[in-house]
Amino acid sequence: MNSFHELIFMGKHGAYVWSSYLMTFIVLLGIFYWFRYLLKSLRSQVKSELNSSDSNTVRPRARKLKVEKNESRD
Amino acid sequence: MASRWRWFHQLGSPKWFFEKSAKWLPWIWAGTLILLAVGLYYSLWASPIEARQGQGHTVRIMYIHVPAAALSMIGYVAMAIASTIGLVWKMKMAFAASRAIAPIGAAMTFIALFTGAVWGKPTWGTWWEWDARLTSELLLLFLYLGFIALHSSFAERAKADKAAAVLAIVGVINVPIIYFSVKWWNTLHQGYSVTQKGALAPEFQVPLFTMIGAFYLLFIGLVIMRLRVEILMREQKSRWVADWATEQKAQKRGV
Repeated sequence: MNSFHELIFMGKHGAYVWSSYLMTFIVLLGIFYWFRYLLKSLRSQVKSELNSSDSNTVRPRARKLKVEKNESRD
Repeated sequence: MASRWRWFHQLGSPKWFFEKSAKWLPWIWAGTLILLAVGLYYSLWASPIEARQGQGHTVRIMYIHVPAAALSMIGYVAMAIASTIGLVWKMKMAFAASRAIAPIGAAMTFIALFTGAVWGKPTWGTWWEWDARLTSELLLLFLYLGFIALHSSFAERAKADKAAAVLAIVGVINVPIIYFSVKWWNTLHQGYSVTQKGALAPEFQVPLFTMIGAFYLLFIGLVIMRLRVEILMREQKSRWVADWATEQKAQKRGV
């Protein structure tokens, strides 16, 4: 390779060479980001499930005291 | 003897693999980037053009076509081996591994077919020819897609694993057909050039083997990434996943 012009046009075959490299780049990078997105969304799903289970946890309440009305007070 | 097989038993533990693989990935990505940088420099700039067969600059397509085609076959064989291990030894991680390999193998097959078609136009004068090598490679893409579709069609994961494993094992017969097709039939596709000694000039070997190394590392890295996702999907209800998620949360808060 002697010049930048040759790198771009590759004789008459620039379109063939560059389209091959570009498609490979797009497919592989697309897969990489897709997997990253899946991992992140699963992580946030687990977190939100944990948060919701924390808030829905039934805590033991203090027993209500029974107050008997004394009607014969007066 | 027991310690020799310890790594194999550890690989069977989703928790162990998930934790360890987080440490492996940065090294794999670093190696991939270094090899890709060197490989791309040679394949797009420093390597000579092909003059003997008059291919000119189109020979540069070889540096991505050959690694992708090799990995498309290796990926399927790995998927079939993992499926066999899963069916015979009932190893959960083996099924997860075969499910993780499928989309990356399909992507490699697509890249091999696409770059092959683009390389074929200026070299053979046609984008596509129904010859043995090209047709069997197309069949491989359908096998990968069939595996993914079959696995997704079952609601129950255990049934999906088994059905897809059977397809992976049956479909592996296509791999030797792809490899030996240029020998068994008179195809438009050229014969062995990488595995046959002396078929490839030394000046083309450096960029090719560097790119093969980069693609192999990239493939391993992507499979590990997808396998981590698969493990999380399967172990969502486990205590260690909850611990991992809360640990992540605490790290983000700076605790």
